[in-house]
Amino acid sequence: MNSTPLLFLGILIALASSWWGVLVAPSLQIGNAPTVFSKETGQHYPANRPGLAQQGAEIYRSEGCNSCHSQLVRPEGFGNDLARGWGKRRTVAQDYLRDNPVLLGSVRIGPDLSNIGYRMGAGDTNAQPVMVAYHLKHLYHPRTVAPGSVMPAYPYLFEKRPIQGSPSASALKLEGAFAPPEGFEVVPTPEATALVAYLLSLRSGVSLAEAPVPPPPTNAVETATSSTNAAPASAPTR
Amino acid sequence: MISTATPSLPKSADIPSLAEVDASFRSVALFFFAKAAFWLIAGAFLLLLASIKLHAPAMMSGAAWLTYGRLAPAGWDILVYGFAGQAGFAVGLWLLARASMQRLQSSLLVLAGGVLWNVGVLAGTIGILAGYSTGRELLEMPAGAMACLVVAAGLIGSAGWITFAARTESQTYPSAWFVLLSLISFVWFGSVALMMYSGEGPRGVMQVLVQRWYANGITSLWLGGIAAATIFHFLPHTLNRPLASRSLALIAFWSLAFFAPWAVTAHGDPFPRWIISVGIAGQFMASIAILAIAMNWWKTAEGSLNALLASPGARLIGLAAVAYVASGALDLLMAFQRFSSWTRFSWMHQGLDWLLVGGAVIAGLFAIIPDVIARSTGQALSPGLVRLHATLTLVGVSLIAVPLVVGGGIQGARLSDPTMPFMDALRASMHLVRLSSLGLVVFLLGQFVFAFALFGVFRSLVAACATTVRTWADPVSKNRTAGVRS
Amino acid sequence: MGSYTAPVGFFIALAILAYLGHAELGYHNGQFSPGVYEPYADLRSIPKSGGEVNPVDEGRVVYAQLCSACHQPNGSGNPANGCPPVAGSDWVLEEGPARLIRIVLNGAKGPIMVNGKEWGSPVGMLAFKDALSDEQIAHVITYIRQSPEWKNNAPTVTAEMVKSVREKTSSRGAQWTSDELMKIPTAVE
Repeated sequence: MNSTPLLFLGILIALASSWWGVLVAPSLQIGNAPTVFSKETGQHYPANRPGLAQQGAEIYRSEGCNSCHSQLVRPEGFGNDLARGWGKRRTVAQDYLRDNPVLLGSVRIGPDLSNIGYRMGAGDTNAQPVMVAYHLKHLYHPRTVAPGSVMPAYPYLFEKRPIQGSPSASALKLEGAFAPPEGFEVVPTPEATALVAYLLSLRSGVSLAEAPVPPPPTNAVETATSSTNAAPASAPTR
Repeated sequence: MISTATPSLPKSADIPSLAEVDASFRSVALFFFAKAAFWLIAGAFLLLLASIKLHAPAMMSGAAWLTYGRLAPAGWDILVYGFAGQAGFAVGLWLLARASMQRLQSSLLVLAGGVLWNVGVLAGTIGILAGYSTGRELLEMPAGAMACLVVAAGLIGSAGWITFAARTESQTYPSAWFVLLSLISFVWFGSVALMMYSGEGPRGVMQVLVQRWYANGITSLWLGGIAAATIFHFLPHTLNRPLASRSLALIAFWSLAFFAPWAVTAHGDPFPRWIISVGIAGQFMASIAILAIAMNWWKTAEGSLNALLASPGARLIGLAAVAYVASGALDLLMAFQRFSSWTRFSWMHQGLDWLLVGGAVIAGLFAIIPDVIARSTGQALSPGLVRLHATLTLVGVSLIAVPLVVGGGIQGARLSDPTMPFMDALRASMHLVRLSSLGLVVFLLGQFVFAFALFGVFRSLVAACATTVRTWADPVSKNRTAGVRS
Repeated sequence: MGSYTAPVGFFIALAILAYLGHAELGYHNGQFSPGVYEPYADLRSIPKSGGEVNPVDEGRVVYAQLCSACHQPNGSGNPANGCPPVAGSDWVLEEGPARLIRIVLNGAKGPIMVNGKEWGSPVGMLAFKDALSDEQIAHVITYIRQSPEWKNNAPTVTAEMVKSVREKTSSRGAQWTSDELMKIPTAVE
């Protein structure tokens, strides 16, 4: 410890060792992982996000949504993520291949969002407009649909404007204290629309070799949770 | 205990006195601590705003920069880079210079680095608040701002190493090793992370690994290294007894440097199992360092714990030592699957951050900062204000960290029942989060007190300076003062 | 500096930590495979999803790789090159698969009436008898007959059926024409 160059070298070797072990070696193994073909969907997984959803990912990043929401589902025996209906299976590296940046998050002040695109109506395309309307209202003022939520409101992603002629088709249907004054309407900005498109694109339910989707639930507890999750009002609060 | 004299040691005539060593820090200390005090207030204020928004989520929702997702990372980054890093550099260099019995070398490099560092923090904060956050924890600042920080840390760090290389003291001290490790760490982790993200960058979860490696590296080695150095210096110094064991410190130093940066993964992460396993194994091995450190400090302080309650600085260093060991112990617990499943993603995450950064680093630094200022400028902070500040900081940090850790445990326990709705589990721990918001208020008040005390030092320095200028310009009064003095 | 010597218990604690670290790496390394995730120990312990092979899922892969370029991923066919639709096609949904198996084995060319509209081209569809096994042909035909995406619903085709047709037509090299096929009974004996 009395020779400056030796001390410097020793510290450098110590620090470099973790770089090799934690970054270089994994990168050699999984850094160039290809997309995989899914027999279930007949498409490569993961697919590129549609343009609008990709823009929404940028909003998600810039508003810091990952300060409160994680995007990872832990396996059975590592917490109750699956029993809570946050996913059909655990998430693995494959799920994040197309994300940039990958926003895993480290705190859950709100629920996990890995599969928010599946919840409410379970992927039924007919329910899409319902889900869009739900998420827009939730973003405009979370407590319109989830009483007691601690999520901030995002009125700046919406425009409150006087109704000119007939009301806009995209205007939110707000009631009671949350409704805009008479003669006004609340319409989503392109940012809000993109963010909702991103949220609906969050689906990691495709069965993968390394993380197979287990067969449908049989026991009572799981059935109970999944049925609660299908109900629109309670789903995203879980 | 090998102390073979290096042949290149300077002759005794070149050995500066302690007073000369301290005096070489005058401008550095003033610049770094003034800026750090400002950032600490700014960071704690943003965190307080963010915390209030958890209780009144509809408040101040009209402006994008006031949303929780921007305030919280901006506030935390300010705390880490604006205060802990900045004050840590100054205190670290001071410890290093004293341990080396050498004046601060290349202080211009340090000052240039300091200016660049503050430019980086400012640019980064504005970037995050304006929505240009990268979304990567502790790396949220846009790449340009991060680059400023890395270059600045390089300038400051090289001055530290130059000072160490020019030491006149043959024996090296544990506090000096940890400072040297800390000085390299930020440059290493920061530059490698920036380089890996440049261009196309890593794909998929490799991005997460790079971010975790960086965040874990700078918290455990850069910030943790400074905290350890501070305590290694202060404990023997205050208790007026030698450090219990140099060889235990050696074990701790090398196991920390080698193994702590490996502990990047946690159970349930979306990485192949072996990568998790490597991280967990790293955590176990890094705990060797924590155990050796705890043992050493305990044996040093054993029997004179009363002395640790005697002065404000000693109380702060006591808190820092307890917080450092506690955060290490919680990290070790997190390596076990059951504990990790229970507490991960809960408030305990923030509690752990506060324990290390608020408890070990900030409290530890504040134990020494008044001393550094007094010795390097010749102007002491008002002792009353220092005592008040130490008390408020102590109460504040404890009130923030402990409820968050406990609240995380409660939240996790509730969540372990899968039928318990997520929001109900959150609500069950909310009263403790409110308590930690209160802690933040106390903490923030304390920092105003410190800023006020620091302002007092500046005022008397300016006054002293003005007197000098006046006496120099006016020979009559010079004679008069000379007459009075004699 | 002091000369304190740590007690034996301390070194035992260090040894336990070091052991835990090594045991973690030794027993939970997932054989260092990129495909092994918690909670599985190795590749063999990962259950296959759904248990047995689902012919629709297997066939979907074959279709995507070989058929979708002409017949389109949504099975709509391609009017530009005369490639007829498979989604909702009367040829595909025929109760017996004898003609369908022949088309896949030897290919087909010339005009062909599908759902009352004329399709087809002089080049026609290629033969797949050498490219695909009986099983794969059974899977892909089952897929186009039962694809949930297209709401098709016709009986499953087995590898045995394909084998029997393949043996019967083994001497044939040319592509089928619509007229030839219409003379063959739809059921596979």
